[in-house]
Amino acid sequence: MTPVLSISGLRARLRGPDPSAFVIDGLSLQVNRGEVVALVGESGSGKTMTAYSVLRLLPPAIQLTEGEIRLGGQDVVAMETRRLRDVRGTLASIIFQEPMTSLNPLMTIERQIAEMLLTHGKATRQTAPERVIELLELVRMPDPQTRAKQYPHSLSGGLRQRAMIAMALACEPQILIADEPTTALDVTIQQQVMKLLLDLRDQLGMAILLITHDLGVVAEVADRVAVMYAGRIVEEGPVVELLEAPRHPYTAGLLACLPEGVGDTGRLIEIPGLPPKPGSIPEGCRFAPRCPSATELCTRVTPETRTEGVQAFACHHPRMPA
Amino acid sequence: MSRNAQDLIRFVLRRLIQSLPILLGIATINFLFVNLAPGDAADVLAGEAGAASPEFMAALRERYGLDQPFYVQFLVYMGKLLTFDLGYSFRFSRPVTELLLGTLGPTLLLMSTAILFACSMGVFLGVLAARCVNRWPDYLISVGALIAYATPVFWLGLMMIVLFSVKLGWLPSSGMQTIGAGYTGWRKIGDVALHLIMPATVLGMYLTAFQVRLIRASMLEIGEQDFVTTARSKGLSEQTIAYRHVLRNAILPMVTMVGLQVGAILGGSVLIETVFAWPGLGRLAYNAVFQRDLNLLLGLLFLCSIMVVVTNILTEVAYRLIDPRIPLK
Repeated sequence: MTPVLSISGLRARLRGPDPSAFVIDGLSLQVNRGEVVALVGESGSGKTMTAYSVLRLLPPAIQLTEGEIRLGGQDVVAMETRRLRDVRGTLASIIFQEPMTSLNPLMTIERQIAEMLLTHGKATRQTAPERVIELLELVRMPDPQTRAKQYPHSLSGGLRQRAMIAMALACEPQILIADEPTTALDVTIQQQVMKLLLDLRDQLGMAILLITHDLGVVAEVADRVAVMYAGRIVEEGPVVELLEAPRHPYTAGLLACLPEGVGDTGRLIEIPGLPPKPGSIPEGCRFAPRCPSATELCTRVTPETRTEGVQAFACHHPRMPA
Repeated sequence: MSRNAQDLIRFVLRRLIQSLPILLGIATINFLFVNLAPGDAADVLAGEAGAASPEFMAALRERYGLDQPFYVQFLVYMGKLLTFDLGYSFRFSRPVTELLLGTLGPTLLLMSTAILFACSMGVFLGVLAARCVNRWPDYLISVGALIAYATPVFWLGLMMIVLFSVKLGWLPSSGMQTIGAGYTGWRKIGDVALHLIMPATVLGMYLTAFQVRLIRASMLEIGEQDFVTTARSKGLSEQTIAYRHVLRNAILPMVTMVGLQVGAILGGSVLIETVFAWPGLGRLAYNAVFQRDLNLLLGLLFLCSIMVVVTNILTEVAYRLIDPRIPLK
């Protein structure tokens, strides 16, 4: 069966004088029907840009240079604008980190959701209001009749994110790309929104590409995890195996940073150093400068991705399997 | 009636009441300043008569109340103002109110056409420049706006008369209607419109340049906001995004600017109406100043302050209608 989303060899760079300023550097990833895949990494690892590139929403400063992105078998990179617009919202939809700013402040919730339906001919002016209420009920918006007529400023962050989800799902896409959908919400609301996304996945059968840096959320909701570092995927595998026995030292480092991992010393653990900036990516393995098990080999040769069991990783000195 | 409409009416009424003390304050300042200038109506009348005896001067002053102490003149003026009596123009031998009402129409027509022209051109060119940012249409529009901004309006007016009236003969050079033609109905409207083109364009030129640059900057700023990416992710065309999502948000500073610039436009109309012999308030003001027609001048200033106050209320209403986040407080 063709995957819903298949990215292979994707590279994107910052426009400018430096031709090596890659923010995404040879990324490959697949998402199958109905699957929840988490793309995890620190800030600046390129995970959000990966999410944006799927619908070709990259900001003008970033340019896709190589690779292929297939949505339901169609190549998004080569697609002409007209066709791309048809695909946006129908094959894949995206929701963003900041529900406070991602809705137009001057339009009612109803109009913004209806706009999605009308653009893709999924409703007429007469049927749209009714369908909007259905969608708001689907995302469990309290008092949908009233909320539909309101402007975004009258809604809390959690409710706005629900409205965003309702809009994203209006044309029943096969995959929902969720770019840190709960980061800006407070903790109790985070739980509700994540649960809602999972329920909707079960109900509608769509896949979810979840961009996050929160491994706690990943453990709860994802089927599969891809760990991203400096524009590349360094480890990938089913959620249980990957979180219990990470092979890549970076994944292990991220897990050790969780507050739950605090040992007897009572001190929080961190990965020393910062991720490299685009344009100043080191030779060899890009994690080597921060890696506890790095050797001279790591600073010279870029590790190939290899698969052992259910996990794939790119490391010369992987940690022991479980 | 909906709650919104009720709120709106209550808001406008409240603002009108609040503006009464402002208007009285302005009237006071006007009166003081105008009386600071040397000379009075009697001097001018006597001067024009060629010669006048001191007795005649005294009689004139007594007749017009100019012999009274300053504070008495002031109280009399304010008292009349409260009953909407703006006094009598000695130069035109007609009540000031009548003169003002006769010229208010042409000026309002000229100003509203100029503002409408400036806003529509501002939006059209500003959006175009923002959508072609750093490409040749943007450069062309931005440089054009800069030139329009820097050109003195009276010079532009004269040059347009030279080109379009004298050389090409396309447009009438002055006035509001063809004298003696006696048109009625649609022909009259067409005739006025033809006379309106040049003065309105020149009057609106400065504001247009302002609006173009404002809309361009504002479009570019709003264009980077998250909800624009949302709109793009919905599969909307760039055209729809620009006009439906970005422009509505970008237009708010323009509304503010129009409110602030109405005073300047009113000032500009003095110049434009004189250049194009447009029978409006501006030309009346010009005459009033040079003929020491103090009553008329005070009336004009008072009317202008009312116009500015009213425009500011309208600006606030427009703001509220565009942006639901702004409460009518």
